[in-house]
Amino acid sequence: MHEATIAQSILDLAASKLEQIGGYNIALKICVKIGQFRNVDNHSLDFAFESLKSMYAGFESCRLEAQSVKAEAWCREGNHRYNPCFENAFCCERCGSGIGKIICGEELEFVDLITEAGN
Amino acid sequence: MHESSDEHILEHLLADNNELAQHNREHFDKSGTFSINFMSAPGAGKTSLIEKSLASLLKSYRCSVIEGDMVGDLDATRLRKSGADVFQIATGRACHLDAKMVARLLHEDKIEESDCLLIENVGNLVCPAEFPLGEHKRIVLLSITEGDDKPLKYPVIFRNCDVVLFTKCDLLPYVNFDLAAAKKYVEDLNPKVKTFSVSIKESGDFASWMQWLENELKDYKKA
Ligand SMILES: Nc1nc2c(ncn2[C@@H]2O[C@H](COP(=O)(O)OP(=O)(O)O)[C@@H](O)[C@H]2O)c(=O)[nH]1
Ligand SMILES: [Mg+2]
Ligand SMILES: [Zn+2]
Repeated sequence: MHEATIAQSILDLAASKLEQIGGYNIALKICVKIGQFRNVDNHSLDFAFESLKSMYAGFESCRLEAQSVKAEAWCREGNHRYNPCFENAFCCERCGSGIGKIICGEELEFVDLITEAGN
Repeated sequence: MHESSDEHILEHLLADNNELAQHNREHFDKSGTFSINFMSAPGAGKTSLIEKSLASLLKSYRCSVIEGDMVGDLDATRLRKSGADVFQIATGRACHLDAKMVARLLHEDKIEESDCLLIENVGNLVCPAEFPLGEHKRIVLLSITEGDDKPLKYPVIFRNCDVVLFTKCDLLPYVNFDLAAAKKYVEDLNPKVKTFSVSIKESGDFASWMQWLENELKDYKKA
């Protein structure tokens, strides 16, 4: 699955940030934001991350914290703010129209790297 | 792409692929190659549709094909018979094509000389949606034997495409597939989408799909 590719990108990005910090720092936690309107399964991502991290120096004890972002959109006809999802067939509950502009839920972002001085 | 509402733009996790896709696109535009990414579940009819589309495209345009398959080259062999230049990408364990795989073929003369490049992605409704290749148009095929609820189950790919083709429409009399419902699901997800009901047999509206494709190609070549 493509979650392995995403896990690898996360570690690559984090590794270059760790290098920039320099010294003997080790990574404790990586925070990412993942919208629900993305094809990313958090369990698969975590599994891929855990199996890849030992290949990156300084990441042996690093955790991945993936924050899910619920999808929000403006509906197409009534300009109502709503949560498009499977249950409402992605349509606005108030007027029945479809998705206009998506406000959030399409994130796939690196947020932060938390490090600690190693020895 | 998504823009962060924070002051600083956060780094996209697939930035590498997206940058390379942009590079591929510039390359296509330099050589005047209109490129199309065909995506669907396995067996929805991508190879058959490309084969039939080539039969009429090749009358007026130079065409090449990139065939993405996890293993084997059956589809590539099949399409070579059409007379188009076909390049095979064996993706191995990867369940989608990515921009890097396509970039390796950019300097092939036959692709640079083409007016139109048709790319058959790996059969999968999930992963290909996350990996743009630099294509000008994204086409999703949904065969009517798969069920009309698929747009609701795979919303990402149906939202991020230009055209949805309902394929194998010759089988409509034999299958419970609510074409109007499927069309509504797709349009509710994607305001700019065009849909066509097609079949490689006589029935269906293949001519409208070809008309759309040839118009887009003509507009692209003019610009
Ligand atoms: N009845 C019918 N069968 C089709 C049609 N298009 C494709 N098929 C059949 O569906 C199967 C899968 O088609 P193929 O083009 O290989 O699908 P792909 O895996 O998406 O490339 C083959 O047996 C095709 O003959 C169609 O319009 N009508
Ligand atoms: Mg095929
Ligand atoms: Zn509304």
